[in-house]
Amino acid sequence: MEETRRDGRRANQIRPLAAEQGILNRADGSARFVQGNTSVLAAVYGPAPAKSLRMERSEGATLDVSFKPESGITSSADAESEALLRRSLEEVVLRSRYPRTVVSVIIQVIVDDGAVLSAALNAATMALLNAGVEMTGMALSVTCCITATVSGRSVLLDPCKAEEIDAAATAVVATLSAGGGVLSCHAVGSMSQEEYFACCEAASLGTTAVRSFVRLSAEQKVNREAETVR
Amino acid sequence: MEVEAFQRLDPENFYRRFVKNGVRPDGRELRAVRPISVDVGVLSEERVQASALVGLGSTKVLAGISLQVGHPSENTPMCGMLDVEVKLTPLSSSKFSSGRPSEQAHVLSTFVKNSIVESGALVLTDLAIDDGAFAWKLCMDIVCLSFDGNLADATLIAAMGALMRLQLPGTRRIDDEIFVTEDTPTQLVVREVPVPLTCGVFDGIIIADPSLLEEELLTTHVTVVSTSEGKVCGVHKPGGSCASGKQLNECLQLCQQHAKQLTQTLAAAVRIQS
Repeated sequence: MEETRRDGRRANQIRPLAAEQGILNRADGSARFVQGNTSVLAAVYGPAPAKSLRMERSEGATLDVSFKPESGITSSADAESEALLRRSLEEVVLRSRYPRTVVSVIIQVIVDDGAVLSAALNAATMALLNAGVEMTGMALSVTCCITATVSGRSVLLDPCKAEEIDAAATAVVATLSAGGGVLSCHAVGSMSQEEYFACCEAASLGTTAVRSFVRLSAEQKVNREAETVR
Repeated sequence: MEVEAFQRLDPENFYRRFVKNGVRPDGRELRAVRPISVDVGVLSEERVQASALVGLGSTKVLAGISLQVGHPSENTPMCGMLDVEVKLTPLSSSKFSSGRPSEQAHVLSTFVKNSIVESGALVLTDLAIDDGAFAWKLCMDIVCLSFDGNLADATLIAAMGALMRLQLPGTRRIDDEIFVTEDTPTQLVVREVPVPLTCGVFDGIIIADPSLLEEELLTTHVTVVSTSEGKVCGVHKPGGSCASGKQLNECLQLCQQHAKQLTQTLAAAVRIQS
């Protein structure tokens, strides 16, 4: 019999996904990405003229990403997440199309029930899609963790908060396309090399599922809008 | 064209010419790490319990640990605390400004803390005093003295050097207070020695330990933290061009080879001092 996790999932199963797009009136683009109980809201403003000279770059747009945790003030760890999100998005946004502008991405965690960094990146990508900012691909991510159980160590895809706390190691992996290598990776903990690559493999497969989901929901939104215009 | 002018005007092609021939502008091979020096106990141990000065080429980083006694928080009974703060001051480079810690400083602080705590190098319950009624708080300050690229490696090596040197002083409990005594210090147990190696990718070629000049030209960089036994304690790749599984594997292999030598250097430095 296959072992199941505390919420009844199999090891390589991600939680149900849900998304809403364009839910904020004032933002140029917004999205809420829900993965199980984890829920993250992202808003995009811009491309807009840079408010300060420091932010202005003649060769392309500047990305200004802020990551707000569920509660409390931003810690060093949140600053690290923010840097990872910014650098991942910088790679995909076609910045040279918008010189001297700033694209602000504000990411607010609503509920943190594990894999929050992945959900944040997925929400940001959907918000950028919704804002119509040109991108070379979709930066999407899934988190994995390695848990030691009585029957040995196993790779669990898309862990919830409790699983994350018990984990020996967690790895956040972001990809741009299926089989296109790793865009970003943030792995911490203690694991063997084989386990690390097993995580990368599992996460790549996981992102494929997320990718189809994001594509489908973006398509549905466009179709629905086309219907109402007609 | 003169060499200097070429480097200024077209640094990318300047660098490409070197890399094609398997060398780098500073004379290193593509996968060679700059010479690493580790000096432990450089600060007066009356004031700073443990310290380490690490040189990675001309990148220089000083780490110091001071101790405080406190009560464990209710969420984490029996656990001490590790507080890491990386300071990037204008002293080391004109790229840094004084005032609030920059994003890079936050990223490095979290990187060092995660590498030490999550890898199991430092077990926080080891810091409990008197059956967990009190606990040590390690305040680790890491100051960059000279910046020539690859701060991630330099900061973590310095942190590990200081940590391996740290002795916890003896304590005596009188009523509800803890007094630190001069006698019978105990060596802190460092269970693993996680060491880092940052590699960069340029034209799909892997380059180890990038210097400041190289950092700006690389399309991505990967920092791997591993122990000499081959355990992986961290892989950090924030954005940049995508890395294939093969490239990641190479970075991991390089780090594990490097770890064997580096743990010996660290152990030797600590042994000389004590």
